[in-house]
Amino acid sequence: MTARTGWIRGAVLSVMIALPLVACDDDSSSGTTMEMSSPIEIAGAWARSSPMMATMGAAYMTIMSTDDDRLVAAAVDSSIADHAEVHEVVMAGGSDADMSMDMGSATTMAMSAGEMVMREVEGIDIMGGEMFMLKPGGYHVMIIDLVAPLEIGQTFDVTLTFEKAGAVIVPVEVREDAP
Amino acid sequence: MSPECRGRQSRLLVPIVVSLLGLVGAVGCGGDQVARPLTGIVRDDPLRSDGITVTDVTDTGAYPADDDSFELVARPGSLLVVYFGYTQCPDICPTTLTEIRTALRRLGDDATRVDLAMITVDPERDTGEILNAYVGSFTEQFHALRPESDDELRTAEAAFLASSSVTRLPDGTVEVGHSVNSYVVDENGTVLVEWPFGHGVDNTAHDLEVMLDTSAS
Ligand SMILES: [Cu+2]
Repeated sequence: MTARTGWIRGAVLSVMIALPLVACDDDSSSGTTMEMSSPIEIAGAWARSSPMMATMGAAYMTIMSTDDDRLVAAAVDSSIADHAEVHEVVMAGGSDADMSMDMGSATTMAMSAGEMVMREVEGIDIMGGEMFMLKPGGYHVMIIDLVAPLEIGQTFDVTLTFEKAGAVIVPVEVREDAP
Repeated sequence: MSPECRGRQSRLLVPIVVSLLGLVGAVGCGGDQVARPLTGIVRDDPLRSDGITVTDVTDTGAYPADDDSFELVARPGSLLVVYFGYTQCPDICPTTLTEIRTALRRLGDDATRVDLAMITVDPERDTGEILNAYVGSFTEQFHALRPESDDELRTAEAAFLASSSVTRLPDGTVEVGHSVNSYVVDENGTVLVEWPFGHGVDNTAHDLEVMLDTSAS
């Protein structure tokens, strides 16, 4: 990962930021950033556009904090969905017969044939100075009971709550695929 | 190796292939054997899905169901991508199906020789209407398959060594676990390749291109 370019300063909840602050060239050029900078930075926040009839969505992003912190909750406005939760996708049941498939020329792949399930997590520890990625097949902010399908080009806010840093509003861009 | 075999070189990247898996053996080409690298999982003893049928609730798109059950084989000269999933799956299913959709777009006209069959592992919540709209948003050439009994689902899963479970938790939520591979089946019901989760658009498109090329001759 390179410079801070493109990183979006997390803004503290008290300010209702008016978007669109995707990819500012310089933090200081962003009129939407509070001067009192949050220790939390969020980059590349996106959600997949909803297939027809889908009632669930997922948002992904990279989280970085200057200090050790812990993501403990996620929320969306009720105009977007009923609520949001922090989820993890995990292998169900651990290693069993599914994992030792009789495969010909193939080598074993990490997620080849096990059953996967997603679960709500109580929190995610964010190590100071390290990046934590929410990405497909791993962690996501699950958007539950969508009011309307998420459309490409749309942007909506997810509010993340950190144990120390408090609430951080993250503008999430709806895209067909990862940026 | 057969010199007379039509051997269009893939325009896609060799390094990707090399870094990944397997050689595919013995596919078509006038009965001759040709070795072509596929990036997904290729078994020495391929899985088979001929004779396996699932209740077909497709009622829109290119293939209106004239029959209420669909055998998991491709149309002649085509490929069938089979996926087990459910529509309330926010992460794994749309990620995989989006990769397949993007790969199909790259194929251009050849994509008309690829159909997608999604078998819901959550038939109780995935009604025909929901499933049709969902699968149809990834390709027009789809089969929306909704098992009518547990037995029907388990039989289909067994053919692919797939599995799933739907658990109703005390708080009212429904937890669905499912195996996450997708499978490419030919007109004979042979599973030519399996793609694990996160296989990627490049690899998926490459494999489809290789298999379509082979089955065209
Ligand atoms: Cu989830």
